Amino acid sequence: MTSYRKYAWPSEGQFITDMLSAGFATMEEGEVTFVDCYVHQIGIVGSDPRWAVDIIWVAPSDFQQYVVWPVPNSAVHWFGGWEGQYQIDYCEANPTLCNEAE
Amino acid sequence: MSYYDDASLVLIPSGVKAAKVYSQKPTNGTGDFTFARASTATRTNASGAIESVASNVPRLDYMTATGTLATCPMFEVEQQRTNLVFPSDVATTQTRTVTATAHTLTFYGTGSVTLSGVATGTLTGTGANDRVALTFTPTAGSLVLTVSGTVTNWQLEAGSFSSTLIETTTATVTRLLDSVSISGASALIGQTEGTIFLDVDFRVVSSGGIRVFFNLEGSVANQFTGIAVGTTNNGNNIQYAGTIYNLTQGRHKIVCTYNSATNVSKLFVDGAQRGASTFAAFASTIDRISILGRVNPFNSFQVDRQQFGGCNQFALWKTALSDAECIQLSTL
Repeated sequence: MTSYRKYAWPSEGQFITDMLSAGFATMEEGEVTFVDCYVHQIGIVGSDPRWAVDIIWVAPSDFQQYVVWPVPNSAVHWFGGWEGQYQIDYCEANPTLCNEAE
Repeated sequence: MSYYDDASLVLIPSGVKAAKVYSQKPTNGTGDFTFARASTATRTNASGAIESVASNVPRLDYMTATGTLATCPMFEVEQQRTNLVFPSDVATTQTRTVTATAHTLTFYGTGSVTLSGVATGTLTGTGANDRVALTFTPTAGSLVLTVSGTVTNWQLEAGSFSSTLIETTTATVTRLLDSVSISGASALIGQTEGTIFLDVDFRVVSSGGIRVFFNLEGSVANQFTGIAVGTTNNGNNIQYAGTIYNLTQGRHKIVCTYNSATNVSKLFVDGAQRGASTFAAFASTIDRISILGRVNPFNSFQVDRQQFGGCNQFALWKTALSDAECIQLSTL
């Protein structure tokens, strides 16, 4: 089952290294292709030095240590059509904060 | 001969449903393609209106690469793109963070958008139903987009040409790539000789890496067995055994034949032979087909290296058509 997660990696380099190492990306002729997932690298957001990344997982999601849960109405990026599912997942993962999202 | 009667697979886009593009031939469903796009997208309908399309639903699009409405639809295939401005329906002045790479700004309407900050320039609209475009390369940093007058359905995307509209409301939005493929289709593919035909509305790829028009590929256990035709790293050159043919934006007909008896493969584009190559027999059974993308041989066999384009027709024959037939078939 596909799932949508938002991440904050320590750095862009760490993100690419982790994805290649875990087999979720391949490097061919200098071009990175992501495997079993769809990726949008948002980059640095505001004053947060971490590397923000949105991923839709076709495979079971990974890298739980870097998952972040921005309040839905403050998110800076969406994959088209996934806003509603993110809202549901946000409330399941953060029941005490869910009122904030509504 | 009848091209239709002799073909093992014929796809002329007309019928789709979620996750499926129907072929006219064969009629038993074994030639129907699996479609995937894990996000919403938009298409232009027969009346010229932009419509939203749900995730995993193929887009039958009537808008050609040259900005005219076609009389028959094509199925649209695009790579991933992100609309950096929001909301997209009615433009407002805003500042966006951009990288130092080519970006393309598009909109409809009679107003204008003036760039300042890390890029300069002005794009002026020409009409409510006309989409205008400006490609520019900023330095990295804050780009100010100052809107004047009526500017609707606007989009700012990284890339040297525009893609279909990505609707936004409160944040940037990414449209994910389209993929069209079949697996387990060995009975439809000539295993010792054959012909592949693609009628494509080509949107032009520029320096985006190798992008594939079509690919016949083996099973997971038999990687790197197959045949593919695509454009090169450097843009819109179609490369085949060292012969390069420059594709312009717009409609093209591509025919590729292969024959292990003669050890020859040939490429025909737009009514003439453009290349030839030695061809060794496939090392194993070929059973997967992708259109406007590649069956990735390195991993789980997802489709990647998508073109930006529309498929008007796709067909396979289990024999290598003659040169005269290929010239006739590929003539625009």
